[in-house]
Amino acid sequence: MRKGFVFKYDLCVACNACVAACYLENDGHTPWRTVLSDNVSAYPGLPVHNLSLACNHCENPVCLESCPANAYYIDSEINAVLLDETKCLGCNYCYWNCPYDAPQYNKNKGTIEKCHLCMSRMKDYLLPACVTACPTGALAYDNLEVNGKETYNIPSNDLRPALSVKNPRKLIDKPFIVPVETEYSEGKDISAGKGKDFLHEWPLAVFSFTSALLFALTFAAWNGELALPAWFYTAAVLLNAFISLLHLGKPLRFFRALSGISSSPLSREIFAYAAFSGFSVPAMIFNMEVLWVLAFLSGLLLLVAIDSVYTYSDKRYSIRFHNAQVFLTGLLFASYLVPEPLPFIFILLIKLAYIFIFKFFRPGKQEFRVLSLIYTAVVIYAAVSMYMPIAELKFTLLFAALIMVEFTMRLIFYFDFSPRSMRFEFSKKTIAKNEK
Amino acid sequence: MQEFVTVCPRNCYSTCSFRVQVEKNRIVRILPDSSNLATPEGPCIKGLSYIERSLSGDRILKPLLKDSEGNFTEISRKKALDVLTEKLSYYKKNYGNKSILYYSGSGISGLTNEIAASFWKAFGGASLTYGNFCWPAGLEAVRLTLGENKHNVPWDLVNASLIIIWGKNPAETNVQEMAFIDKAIDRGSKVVVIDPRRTPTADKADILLRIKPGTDAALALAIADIIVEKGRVDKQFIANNVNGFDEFASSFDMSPAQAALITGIPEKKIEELAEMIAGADAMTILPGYGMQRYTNGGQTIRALLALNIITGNIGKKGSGFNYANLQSYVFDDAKEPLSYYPWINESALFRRNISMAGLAEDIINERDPAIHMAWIERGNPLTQAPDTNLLKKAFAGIGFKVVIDQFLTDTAREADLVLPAKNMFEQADIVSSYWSPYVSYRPRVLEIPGDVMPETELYYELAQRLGMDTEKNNIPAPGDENLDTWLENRIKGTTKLSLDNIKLKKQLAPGLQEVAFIDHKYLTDSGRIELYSRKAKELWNVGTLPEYNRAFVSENKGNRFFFMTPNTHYRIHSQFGNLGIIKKFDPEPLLAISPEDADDMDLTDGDKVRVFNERGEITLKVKLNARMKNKCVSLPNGWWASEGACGNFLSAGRETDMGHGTAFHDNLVSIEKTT
Repeated sequence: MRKGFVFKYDLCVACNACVAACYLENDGHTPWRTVLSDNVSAYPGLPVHNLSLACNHCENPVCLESCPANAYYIDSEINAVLLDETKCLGCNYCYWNCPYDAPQYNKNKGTIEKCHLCMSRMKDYLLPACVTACPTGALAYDNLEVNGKETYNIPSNDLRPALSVKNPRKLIDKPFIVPVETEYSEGKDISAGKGKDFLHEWPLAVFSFTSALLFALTFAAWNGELALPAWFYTAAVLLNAFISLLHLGKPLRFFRALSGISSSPLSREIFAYAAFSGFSVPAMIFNMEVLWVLAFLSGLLLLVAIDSVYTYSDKRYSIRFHNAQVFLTGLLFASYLVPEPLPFIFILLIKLAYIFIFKFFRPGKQEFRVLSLIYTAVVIYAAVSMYMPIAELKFTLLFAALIMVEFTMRLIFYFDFSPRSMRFEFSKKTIAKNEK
Repeated sequence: MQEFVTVCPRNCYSTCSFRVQVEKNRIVRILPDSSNLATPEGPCIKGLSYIERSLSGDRILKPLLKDSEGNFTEISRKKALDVLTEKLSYYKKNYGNKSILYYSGSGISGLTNEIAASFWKAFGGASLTYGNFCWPAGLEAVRLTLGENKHNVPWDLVNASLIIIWGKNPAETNVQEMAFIDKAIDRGSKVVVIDPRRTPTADKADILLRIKPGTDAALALAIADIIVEKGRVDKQFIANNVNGFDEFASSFDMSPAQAALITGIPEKKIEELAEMIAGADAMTILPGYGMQRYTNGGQTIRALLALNIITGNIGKKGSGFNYANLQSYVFDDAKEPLSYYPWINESALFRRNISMAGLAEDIINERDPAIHMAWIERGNPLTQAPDTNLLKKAFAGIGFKVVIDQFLTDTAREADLVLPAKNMFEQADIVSSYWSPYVSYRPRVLEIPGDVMPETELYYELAQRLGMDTEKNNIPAPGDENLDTWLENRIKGTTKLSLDNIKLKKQLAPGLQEVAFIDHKYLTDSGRIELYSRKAKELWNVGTLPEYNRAFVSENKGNRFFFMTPNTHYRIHSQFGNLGIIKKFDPEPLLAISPEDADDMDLTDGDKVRVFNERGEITLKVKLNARMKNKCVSLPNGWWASEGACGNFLSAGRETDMGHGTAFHDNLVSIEKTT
């Protein structure tokens, strides 16, 4: 029978003994286990439920699937999903993808680390430290089937987590509090999930954006619209690859990044970049049609691969689409440089439609509205100018302006990008329920 | 690897048993001891932190002597003993024994603590303190009413059909009790929490009544009034067991409407609660210790207890007033609270007129002789006694202070000589609990490191140097066997227990009543439950009947705040907070304030405030928290001033109305935003 963590909401009082036990057993590390609350500020209109959460050692582990370095493996003896830290690149992609926030990045080590189900204890016939430590019996390690399939606030998904919860007696009821006194606005304390971290991942923003630019430059060069010195182009391709390494905790292990190609979108992205570089640089040097075609096709593949790295992680939206996806940006730049006004206008209409339908009129984003208007002005001016004779300098300046506004949008993309996270969803769900 | 069963000796309800695994003189694992029926799932986060605490790099391992510039230098054990011998002799010769204050706190419990008394007696006496910081007002209230302090075993709580958690927060301070509460709920029990704060305990309750601090007696009396009025009292029980019911019933002047005004609880809710209590088959009240640390604390506890009495919820399953269960205190000649009284254990040798509540003032005012030397063990009064500023002044006036501690606490920092203290793993002892009914053996599982001397050995060495006869004075020589012999002699004759069987496994207290008072024998003067207590009037000059007296905080006018210093799961008083593992969760002192109050004062999370009153001030960051009642702010008990903010700079050295307790919580402060 399959075993895993069995958690009883009613017995958990957020005493943090499980978290402390984990730190003490494993000599101080990142928080492999955390106790979440669905109502951090104890808003009086809502109950408070606590959830002690660590790696759930899923049957279909997304961390393992998404790892570009093949650093994850499964110990079939204790059914644990384990990480070989010596293989980890520190790319954080597993952290993005795990809805339970189980993989944790350790800055000092430069790698991810995670719960290993207290392997050494298990082999001594002891239960994991967190389980042994729980002073109320809220957290256990037991047969999952026996303990039912209740899933209060646990994202039930196809990962098949080895976690079974016993729902709280009172799902929505709160203690009847008199006098209530505090009318505390809901949502104040909801952290914004993982999204906030992503502006720190500037090398990724630069890499993905530059890739779109390189695609456009290649396309323009193929069409004879742009004469770039081959050495300059080559240097740009290499520099861009180098920048992408900067976000890795272990950049020297970059050679492992293709190991996960059978399942990891990140490996595929890296593969696509290698292919694009491998065709476009010789094409620039030798100017052969077959190389140009291959460079163009691998470039398209690269744009799709880059976008899929993010859509794979960001499962919050049913339409996985954003105006700053590199596929659109790459084609926009390409059609400007060639120049082809009709495709340019077509793409910018798609982008503007996204901005004005999905984002512009949402409450509370004043800065975004200003940026959107600047963006709109620049792209429309660019579109109009494509129908007029234009001086080369002005054309270049306008392209520079286009790069600026597109890059700003790309940064907003990173700000919007919010992979699934229990930290975010756990509190949000209760509050949503209560609002109904 | 070796494994031992030990027991946590902190001043805490749970007194958890746990197993420790030791490898190469290090604690490697702490595991639950499921044979302890009160704490079968093991200790709390503090208990787990012993892994770090026993190895902490901050631990003092060598004696520290303060030089003329105020800096500590490490000295040898021999040098420390020389200095101490010289100082003791000097002050004894020049100012008399009573110029030396012996002060002990509740840092570690166990029978061997008594060896101190043997030493000081052989030394020719000293000045002692009376009273206690913690719980005497409530102990005295229960003693006056029921004759002694005991309650049903912790696991009996599952039989209750109504649990009223009144000013207690077991989710943080007695976490294993939550498992019994949960089981009781499973079996149909209702849970009511009465507390100004929405505690984590309240999250599990059906009803939370957010009462105004210091007004609990008004609520209890209003409920009693309704129950009596409606004739819902347990007449049979009262006739058989209770003295003074008629006087009590005719004494009420607390209508629900009036109580609503005083307590802030709506009248309708008071009536509902009265109905729940009257209708309950088995009601257990879990009163905390916080609400008796008010100037009206003792009378408050008597008023709460009256609810059990008039409804017959004493001496039966699932019922009771679980204030303190001293059934395992089988070795004490004088049980608390009697042992706190100045007139107990008096002898010509000792002077006992410095109260714990008025520690600072009494030290300053002491004459003939004044206090010239202080010996402080197991305690950290500079963070835990009221009125820190005044106490600092009092300490500054004491010529020589020796502090025995594991860490450089606020008090140790003020000492002239700091001696490294043992920890719980380094010496054996016998430990009782005030919640569960066990008498447990705490074995020595680690070697004593460095120049650490357990107090018993310190006393032995000093006694040798001062020319005392250690054998005659019953001060054991160092070594496990000598200590065992001492323990064996100590418990011989006092109980049916032997050291061997306690060593084998923890023992239930001899004569234990799983259901306390099931025999309806009450050790009061009348042999019955005394709702009417003549003694209350005689001893403490309070009413003969439970009554609501206005607390000092009732004078709250204008823009002042109730200053609460509740205990959290991260500390036992001033212990544990300094450890790295605890700091991961609770890194700095924060003042919790309700979002509405914060809005009024234009405060947001992380803003700094000055909290002040006529006694002192502290500066710290605020944390908005909807768990707080408006006009209440809280800073957890036990933060050291050297960690950022200690609440006792603001508290007053007032005594409670009975029992010589300390009314810390009867305290108002002002707050202003600062930078």
